Amino acid sequence: MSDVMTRDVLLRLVDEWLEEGGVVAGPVRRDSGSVHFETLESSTQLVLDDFIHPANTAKEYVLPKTERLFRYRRHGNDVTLIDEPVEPAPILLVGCRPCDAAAFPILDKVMGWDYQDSQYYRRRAALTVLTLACTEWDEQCFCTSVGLGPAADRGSDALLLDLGDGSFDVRPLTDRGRAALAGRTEASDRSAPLPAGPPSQVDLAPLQEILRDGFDSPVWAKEGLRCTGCGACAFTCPTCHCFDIVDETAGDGGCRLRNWDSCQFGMFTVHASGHNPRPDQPSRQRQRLMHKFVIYPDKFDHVLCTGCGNCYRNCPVNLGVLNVLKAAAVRPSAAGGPVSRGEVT
Amino acid sequence: MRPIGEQQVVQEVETSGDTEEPKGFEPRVIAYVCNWCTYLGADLAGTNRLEYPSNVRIVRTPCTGRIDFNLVVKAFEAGADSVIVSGCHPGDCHYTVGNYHARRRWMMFRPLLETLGIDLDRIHFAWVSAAEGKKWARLVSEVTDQTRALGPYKAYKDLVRGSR
Amino acid sequence: MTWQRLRDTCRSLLEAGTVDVVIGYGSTGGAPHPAFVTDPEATDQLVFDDRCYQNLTLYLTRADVRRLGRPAVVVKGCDARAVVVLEQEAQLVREDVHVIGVACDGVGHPRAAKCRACDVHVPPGCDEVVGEAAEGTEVDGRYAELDELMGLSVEERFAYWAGEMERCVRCYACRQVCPLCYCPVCVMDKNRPQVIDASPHAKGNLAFHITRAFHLAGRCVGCDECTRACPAGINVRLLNQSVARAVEQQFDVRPGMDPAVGPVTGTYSLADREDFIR
Repeated sequence: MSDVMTRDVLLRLVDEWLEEGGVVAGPVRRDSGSVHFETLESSTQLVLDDFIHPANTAKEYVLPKTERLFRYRRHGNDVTLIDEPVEPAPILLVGCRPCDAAAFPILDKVMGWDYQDSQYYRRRAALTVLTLACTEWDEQCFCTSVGLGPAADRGSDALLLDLGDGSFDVRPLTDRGRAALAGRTEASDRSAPLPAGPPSQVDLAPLQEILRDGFDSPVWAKEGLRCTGCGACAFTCPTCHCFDIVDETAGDGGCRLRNWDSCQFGMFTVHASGHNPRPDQPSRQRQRLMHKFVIYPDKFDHVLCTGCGNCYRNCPVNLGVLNVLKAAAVRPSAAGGPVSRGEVT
Repeated sequence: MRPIGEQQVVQEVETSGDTEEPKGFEPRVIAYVCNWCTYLGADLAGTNRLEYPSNVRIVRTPCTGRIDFNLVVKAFEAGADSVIVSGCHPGDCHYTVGNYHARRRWMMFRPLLETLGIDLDRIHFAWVSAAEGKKWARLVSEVTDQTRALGPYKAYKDLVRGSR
Repeated sequence: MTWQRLRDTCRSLLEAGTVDVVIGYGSTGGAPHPAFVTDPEATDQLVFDDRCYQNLTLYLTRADVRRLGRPAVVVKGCDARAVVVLEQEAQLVREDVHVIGVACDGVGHPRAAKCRACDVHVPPGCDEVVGEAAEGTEVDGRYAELDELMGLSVEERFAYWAGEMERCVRCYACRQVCPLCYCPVCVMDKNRPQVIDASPHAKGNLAFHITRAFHLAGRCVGCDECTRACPAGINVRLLNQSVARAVEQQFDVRPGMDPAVGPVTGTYSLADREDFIR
């Protein structure tokens, strides 16, 4: 016995949410054919099949690419801060992939660690996540290697499994999920089998030990040199959360903003002195892998990765963390000397 | 002459919108001019008591060759409805070739702006010499009138407002 | 084209010490990607097929790649043009780079837009060329997409770009994959003053793209890597093409096609047009 909801009823939920002034985001297909997770204006834009993973992620709804922290005005030597905390309308994420939804509880750990990131948590509190389980996957998916899977329910308020006939087997998981779906499902004896997911691509536990001892491993130069130093991976990753703070001034006033940042940018670790402890792409790639698979789990008990594969799909040079992990797995760490030579690139 | 740093230019452009606007739409025109010709031409217009609209804010640069297109973009970001770029006539540049470089750059910049849908009717290039006070006054008057007819540059202002 | 000829060529270059590193497309079973081969035995990972998208000349100005020593670089026709421009801009000494051209019938599934109007199937100006390709005749469609855009009104065009600028996330993939964007510190990263907003809102993004397109005036070789790299799916190439077309129309120059033809920026002519200047 399960609860079934037709696609039409789901679309009506979306439209009603919009009518009530809420925000809805879901997968949308562009003219070019690529699918992106975007804010919807109507349910007709929603795409719920024929894609693996959108080119971007749902993290934009809790951690936008740019957001204002406060405004300020100067009067002589005094400064007035004008704090306008974000008060988001209720946000419905429809058709979120399990690997995107699972990122929310992972991000919660660092965003609520020693300081409650109030902007993040206000948005987080406004979310209702209706996750769409996957029925297909490609070679870049490795959710099953990081403790997740095509029907993982972490971070979701309800899980939707496609029955293949225009309706969904719906599994509410939280009060919020139940509230959103109340009265929209019918009991049924049809249910969707839980998909098995991609075969595991890497064995994470021994790999983490290799990485932990692998600061001087030649794998960073071998795999990392081709990295172009852009932010395509970090910005399309559900769990990456590094940010830059900037002030934008206009005359006597201005605002302070938080923007996405990428550890692959050359300027990411430049010191005021000009010294850069990570002066080249190999050392920056090392940092990325270490942060995700050693440092973050040491601190927060979960790898900073949900195996979505976006880093590979968006990488102009076909890099992505899975490739580096696989290379590190076959290559025992060797004390081959430091990767970076301390020069500023 | 104190060298003009980008910092000062940016400051001047951004604060030019701070004064109260009179009733009705009054175009805001930013003019990037070279120090040796057009700036002196504008000064001559002043000493001759030629009247021209006060809608213009003049930003002095050493030479049109120094004019980075970021400055033009910055003017629109700061709320300008029109931008004037003016310098010495070819052959008269104080630095000999600065305006030739500027002209070459403008030949390539204008098609880019056109592709972006930035209104080329709001960007005006001119050669105004130190002796052409009348030309300066006439240029500013014409540009102000044209811009008044076009109206405020709403599209760009909306883009900026949406980014606040 | 058999890969063996390419591999043998590279192996010989490395064994003879003519070059210290081959920058080519490598594969260990999956999709090809940029590879840096220093060991002659490792040249068997070198491949070339229609998934070899990247413009490898990008690595010629990277300090961490230069440290590997004297390079050979594998180039398609579109990539080869960048070598010419880089040399004109004193970013490399032509004699110090061994350029291996690969004849190319196009990349991408479906074929990339740039390939449909390609006239450099056989890369010019190389030290050697591997493989054979059909001689390309230039199809008239090189600027078809741009013409479609220019068919819109000024307001519609701005609305289009305003929408695209909302989607840009300032990952700088377009800049990082571009062989001609080699400034050690990009103007975007300059913050005293911050003339171009670093924030990825529409205002900052528009300023970024205007600046980048203009900084590539007369320099962009049309490899379209910027557009392919964009994770937001923005048609960056349209901006570069609009300037490239203006350069072609006004100066009869296509950057990198002829080493004897100098750059159009940083130069001037007394005969440059003035019809738009009062």
